[in-house]
Amino acid sequence: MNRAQKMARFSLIVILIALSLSAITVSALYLVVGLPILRALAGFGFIGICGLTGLAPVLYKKERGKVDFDERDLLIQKKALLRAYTIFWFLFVLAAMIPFFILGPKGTISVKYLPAMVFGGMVTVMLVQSIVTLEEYGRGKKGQKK
Amino acid sequence: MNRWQKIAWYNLIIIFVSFSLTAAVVGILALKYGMPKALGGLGALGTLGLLGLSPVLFRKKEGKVDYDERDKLIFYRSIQIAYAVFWPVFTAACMVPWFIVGPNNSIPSNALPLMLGAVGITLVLMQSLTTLIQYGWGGKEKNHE
Repeated sequence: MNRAQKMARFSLIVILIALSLSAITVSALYLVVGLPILRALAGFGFIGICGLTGLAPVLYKKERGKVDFDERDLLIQKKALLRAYTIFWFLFVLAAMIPFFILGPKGTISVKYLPAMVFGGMVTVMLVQSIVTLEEYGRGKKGQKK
Repeated sequence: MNRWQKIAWYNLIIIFVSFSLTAAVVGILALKYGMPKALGGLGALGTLGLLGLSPVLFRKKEGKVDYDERDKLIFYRSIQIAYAVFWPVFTAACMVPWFIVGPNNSIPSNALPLMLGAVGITLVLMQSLTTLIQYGWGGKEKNHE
């Protein structure tokens, strides 16, 4: 497993843990504790765990004097980025247009929706990029160790 | 000048013409009818829809090599740079209203499509600019056709 794969796997695990914990907490606060849904949404604070993905380049450092990636790795990286942004744009258009169509042009929406769009967008890009990277390398079996 | 350069020039011209036209229309309407009504001139931004015609106007020619590895590299690099600019713009577009309005307030729902459009145009603008800069503004590039 090469560096790109390890980083993708790390990001994927961190994001999945963050999303799972958020979903569990929101559900528990709403269904078990009986809080109103707006207060139960505070459980999404666990999304902050995604910040750990920023540690991936530190945990999997480039080794000095060794070739870190070749043209194939670069191609996989580019393909993963392109797919991630393709899906991001699809979701971004939906996130911007659905409230507009539901509420109408004279409606209003809570300003809290905007930061949620930024975090949602970042998580989508990282998640898709990690999945595509792992898929392109063959989920760890075929990626050549550098 | 190859196909990518032509598309980039076309995008830049359309964006420049659309914004100039919109500024002129809003300016004229502001002088004639005053400010809130003059904002109707923003409808001139609809000319940006002409950006969608670039793949039709500059079609790939059948049986001819359309691009080589260098063109591909330039294309990917322009996308990378465009998205590097995209993230600060997108984050600012989302966070600035949040800081201005305050966390417990609301914004008009039509701000979302406007934001979508503005972010999209920024991306196209940046990609076109970086493509042209990498090719050297058209002078140095050899035609593949």
